Amino acid sequence: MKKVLLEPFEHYTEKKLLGIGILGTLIGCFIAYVFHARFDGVLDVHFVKAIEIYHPFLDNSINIITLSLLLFITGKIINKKTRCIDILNACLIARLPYYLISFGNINNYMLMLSQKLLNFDPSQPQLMPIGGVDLLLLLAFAFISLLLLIYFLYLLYKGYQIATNAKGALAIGLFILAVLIAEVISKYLIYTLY
Amino acid sequence: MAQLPIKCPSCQDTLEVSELSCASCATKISGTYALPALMQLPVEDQEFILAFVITGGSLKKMASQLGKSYPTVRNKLDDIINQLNSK
Repeated sequence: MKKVLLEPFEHYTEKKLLGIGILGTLIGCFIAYVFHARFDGVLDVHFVKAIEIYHPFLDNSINIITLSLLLFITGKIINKKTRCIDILNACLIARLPYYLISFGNINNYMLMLSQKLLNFDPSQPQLMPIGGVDLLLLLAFAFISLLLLIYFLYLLYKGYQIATNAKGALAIGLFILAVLIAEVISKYLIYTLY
Repeated sequence: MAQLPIKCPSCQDTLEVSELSCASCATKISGTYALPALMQLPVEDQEFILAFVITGGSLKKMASQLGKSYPTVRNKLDDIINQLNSK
């Protein structure tokens, strides 16, 4: 289990990782469509009122391609032997747990809560639009989302580390830089292209 | 069989061979001989190099035999090469 959850890039062949990564991404995109989740940026996920079937597929394609490209460029700087397939697999596999966030919006629950909170006037706290149970669920959702984001970044770094044999502060710095630039580019592309 | 020590337990410097003996006639040769570079690697790395040679230098075959991914095996080999270059 440890091998699957924490060290997948160390033990599985590139073909297996690619197959699972693509299949998981397609399933993740479909789940995102069902629960109205937009992955509008490498690190972003938002719930929306209306969604087209192609939105999550295009969102995640842009996210994966942008992230892979940026990590591949920095990977080549660290180690000339870095292979594109290993970086792509890292991006595909690392994002899989992140797609589970979509389940937070079953029956548009999270979207409804967030809209209620956005309309809330803090000067009138007695008119709090959500109840105690809703607040608890919202906090639990935020906590789980944060854990999934950390797990996503952990897997991504592990995959990047194995693909590039990265060691030391420079490698970590380049990894963070690549993720941040990929986030900006992917967000820009998603909001300008469609 | 006992593992060949390569570091001095007292100062951590690399050990040298000072005596060799023949198991059948008990002839002993004394002197100071440096350990070959490969012998100075940890046993795990020596076994890795042996497996690498036996598989005909194919990292893909090694990866499949060891149940590891290709980049993991390649990184291991690169680390060993770096160790040998630093000797």
